[in-house]
Amino acid sequence: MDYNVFTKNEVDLLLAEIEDLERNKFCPGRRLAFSPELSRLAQGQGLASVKKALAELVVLDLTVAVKLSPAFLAKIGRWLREEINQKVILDIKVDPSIIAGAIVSYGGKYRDLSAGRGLEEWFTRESTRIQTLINEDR
Amino acid sequence: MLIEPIFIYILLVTIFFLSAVLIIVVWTQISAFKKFSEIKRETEQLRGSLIEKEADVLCSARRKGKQIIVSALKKATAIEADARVNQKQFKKLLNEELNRVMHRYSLRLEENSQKAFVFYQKSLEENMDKNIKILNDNAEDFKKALLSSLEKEIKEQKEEKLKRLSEEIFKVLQEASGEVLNRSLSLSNHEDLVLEALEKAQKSHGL
Repeated sequence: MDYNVFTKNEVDLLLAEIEDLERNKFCPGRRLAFSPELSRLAQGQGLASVKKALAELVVLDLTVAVKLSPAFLAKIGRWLREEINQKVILDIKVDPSIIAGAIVSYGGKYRDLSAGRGLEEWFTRESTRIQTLINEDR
Repeated sequence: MLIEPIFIYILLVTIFFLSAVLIIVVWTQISAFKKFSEIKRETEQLRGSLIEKEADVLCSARRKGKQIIVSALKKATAIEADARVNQKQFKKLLNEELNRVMHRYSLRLEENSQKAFVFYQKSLEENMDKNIKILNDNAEDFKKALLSSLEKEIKEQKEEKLKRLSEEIFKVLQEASGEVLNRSLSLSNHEDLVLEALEKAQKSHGL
């Protein structure tokens, strides 16, 4: 199945839509139209299969400093599917304190590759020199 | 009907005997009544005499009691009068004695306080001289010690404050660096850095 969804938010919205459609299956004024993405996924197969396939997707937690554009998210989503796993989706969290870069958590592994951590390490490493400079300035 | 003479005789004897018995009984009763009357009279006389004696005894007891009370009152009045006199005299004597004692003690107290004052003044002057000397001797040492202690304390406080200030500047510098770096990066730079981080993670088998 070709998933054109790359974030957990998008998957959650699709699952909610499927739930809604299933719940109102026998109601007289039921919803008939799917969202374009769900229509595309449901072509040739039932909603149950789509639901099952969406539930099998694997989440990669990605913490970033700023809100990223959907195009860029799609780009890294595709890249991750090529390089790591075909069923991966992104759970994006925005935390300005990390300054830049990203914190990645996937399959029980955690990597802090943020500029915040790098800056902190640099300051720890250079603290004596910085303190000396501060004291000299005074 | 003919009655035997023996029966008549027995009847006469019986009548005689009964008459004799009756006479004896009557006489005995009369004599007993006489004795009773006599005893009654004697009893009445005795009772009368007893009442008289009792009245006499009561009368004499009352008289004696009255005499005792009168004499006791007289004695009490006399004792009270004596006591008043004695109290006045005692008060007078006590006052005189107290005045005498107070006068004596005030004189002695004045004398002693004068002595004590002289002694105290002398000792105070001696002590003051001694203390002034000791103070003069110690003042210089104290001044030096105080200055040294104050200098040390000021130095320590200064160092502590400078250390705290340095820490604060360091913290501010760190935060400011982060903020400046964050703001100086464009969205495109951020995206490049995210991609770079992912690639680095993938290359170092972090994913």
